[in-house]
Amino acid sequence: MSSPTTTIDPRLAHAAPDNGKRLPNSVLAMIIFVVAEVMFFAALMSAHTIARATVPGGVWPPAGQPRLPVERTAFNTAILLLSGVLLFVANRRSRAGYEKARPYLAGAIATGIAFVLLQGVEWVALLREGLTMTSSAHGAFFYLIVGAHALHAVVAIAVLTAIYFPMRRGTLAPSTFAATQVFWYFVVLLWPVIYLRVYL
Amino acid sequence: MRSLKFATRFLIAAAGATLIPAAAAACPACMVGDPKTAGTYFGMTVVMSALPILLVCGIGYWLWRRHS
Repeated sequence: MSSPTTTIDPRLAHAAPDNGKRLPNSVLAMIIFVVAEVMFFAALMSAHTIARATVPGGVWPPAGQPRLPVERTAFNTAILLLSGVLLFVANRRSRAGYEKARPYLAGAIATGIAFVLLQGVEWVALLREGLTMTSSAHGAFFYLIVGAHALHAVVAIAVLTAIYFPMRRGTLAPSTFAATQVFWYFVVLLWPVIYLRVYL
Repeated sequence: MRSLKFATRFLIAAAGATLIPAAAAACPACMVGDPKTAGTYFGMTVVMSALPILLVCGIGYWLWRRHS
């Protein structure tokens, strides 16, 4: 009688148990990438802060330019933070199996999509009110900073969606899941900083 | 030997000059305008200089704690 054999998915082979001490290469690479991204956004917000401080008359937004929707965006910020919390819960639940983590990952994706869609609605309204890239430094910085963040959010949502299917099949490498989380947490935690600096 | 002494003195003098940028008008953007603008420039210079150091040191410390 032959003994039962265990087949290991080759995609999971590199995620061998190491008592959780060794940092997977993909996670370290993502952390280094995120550090570079932090500096990118810091440079944008530094330029925005200086432009804001040097505006003639000290009035920001400049006269004749629409005010940003602070209350609506606060609600949107809460949605994005909820998305981060859901992904955090998905990570905790994944220790008991991907089956239990999947609904939370789906929730994180859904709330992330809701954030991007609501931002899109906000942009359309602001464009109608006359805030464009060329209308003023206010508009240029707004679309540059918020647009760069939205681009990152869209890419991160695409990656989260891409890992949902291997998670459903049970073939998702834990290191891939961890690296994706690093990127999404960056997108989520960066937004309140942008909100405080650009909207308020 | 003499050239080494000269180079050392020159470097010390040059480093000392960085402490009095206003006298050298080394940064026209920072030295003109109102104090609030100068303060903003100074603040952003500090942030942009310290942020990468803090990030790298923070991650290095985290990795060290993780592996020790």
